[in-house]
Amino acid sequence: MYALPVFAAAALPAAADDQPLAHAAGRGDEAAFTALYHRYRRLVHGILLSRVPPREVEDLVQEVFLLAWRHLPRLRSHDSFPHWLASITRNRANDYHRQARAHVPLDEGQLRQSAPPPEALAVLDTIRALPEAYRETLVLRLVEGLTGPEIAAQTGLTPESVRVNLHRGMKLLRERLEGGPAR
Amino acid sequence: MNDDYLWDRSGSPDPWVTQLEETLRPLEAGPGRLPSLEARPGTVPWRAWLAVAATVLVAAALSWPRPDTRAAAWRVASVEGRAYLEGRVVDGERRMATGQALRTAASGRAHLRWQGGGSITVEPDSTVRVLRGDGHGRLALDRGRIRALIWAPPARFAVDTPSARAVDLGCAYTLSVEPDGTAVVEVQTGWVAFQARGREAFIPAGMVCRTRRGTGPGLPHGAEVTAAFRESLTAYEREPGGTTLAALLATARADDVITLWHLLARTGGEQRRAVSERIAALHPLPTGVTVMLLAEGSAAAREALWDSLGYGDFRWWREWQQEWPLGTR
Repeated sequence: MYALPVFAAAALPAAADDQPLAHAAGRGDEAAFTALYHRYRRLVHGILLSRVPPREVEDLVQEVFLLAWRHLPRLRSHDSFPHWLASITRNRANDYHRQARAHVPLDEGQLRQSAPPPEALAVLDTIRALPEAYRETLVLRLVEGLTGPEIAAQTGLTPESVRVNLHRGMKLLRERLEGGPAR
Repeated sequence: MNDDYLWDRSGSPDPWVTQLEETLRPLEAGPGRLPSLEARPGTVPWRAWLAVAATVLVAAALSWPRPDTRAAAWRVASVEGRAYLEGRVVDGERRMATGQALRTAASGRAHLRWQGGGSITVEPDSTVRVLRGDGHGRLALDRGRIRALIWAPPARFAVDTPSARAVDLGCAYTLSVEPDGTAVVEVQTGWVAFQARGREAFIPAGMVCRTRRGTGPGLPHGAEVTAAFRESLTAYEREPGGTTLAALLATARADDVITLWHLLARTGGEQRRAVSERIAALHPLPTGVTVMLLAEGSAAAREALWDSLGYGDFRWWREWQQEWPLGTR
């Protein structure tokens, strides 16, 4: 087995072709799965970032996609691939917190990338302290850069729900960051 | 706040939102690279194989010749503390050949890579041997503990322990061998399911399951059950019977219903009735499920009960069920 070259992701292809890609990937087409990986890695990264320590996210992103690769042949409805992937991601985040054994803490020498700036972590912490309904949506929008319609399409939430989550979540976030009611 | 910009970046950029985006930008997903995936034999279109072959040829042409430990099916990727390969200290990345044994010191830990699609951590004071390293990876865990993350297709990776000839498990788990040869499986991800001779074991993340020589999977249970429940469970698994079952049921709490659920398929008659009644006392039965139906062995009732436990749909679990290979060494 060999690592495939990274595909340039200039623009996200229409999700209408998720079904044939997922079907092909389920039959072992690595190029199809790689395309899905680049299409949905932000979704997975954002969901994890809203739930687990930032230093764990990259490893868990890899695990989620490898889990998806392993189990995709048994997915019956390929047009629900992003929702299925989002479920796997949330389950994996829950599994992380349910693990009986504590993770071995990483020391500076083991970190594969430099630590994010403190102010970024502080804002992320504030987002993660918000009600659950807002956390994931805000991270996907503000960190991963997905638009509201993209968040709805990839998570399975209705556009109306996403819109409400964004509006109310941002209002609450601003109150907490500025220490008072938002204007 | 400009809701349009927040929604789909239309309209004038909202200064507060753009400031947040800028602050959080260091946390966004990087370009990323998918790790190596093992192709599934017979299912990859020939054009994809050609694409892979072309990629390999290009990569080979561009790279300098160098010792390529990645070509070895098994290799020691890194070591923390002390580890010994065939009695010699491992001081860097090393290839492991079939038949070779790796031992970690009391304070050592080794990280192994299997070319076929797996990552193994050998915990302190443990010994593993490579039994096979081609398309089917196989290790023997002689003592101690490993943690495994496997992304190869099912049935491609297995671990021999004193109490089970081959254990092929899900994607992330810990496997320990106890002094009496019992193997203990602890699952980190949520989709491990086995069946052997009609006996099923669904092991969600955070659950533990013991294997005993020649008997296949035991009763899954939570990693943090009470000492009393653990003792009665051990006693029941050693000698299943009315007395040990009564003790097990008496010490069970609400969190232990998943263990009792497995007993529904492993008991009959009055014992199954006792299990059903205890489940009903600990967990609200879903609509349509009664103690009588469970006691009668209704598969539909048992499945509906599983669905009410919060571990996912029963059909979901059956999708990933694997054969548990029985046998002894």
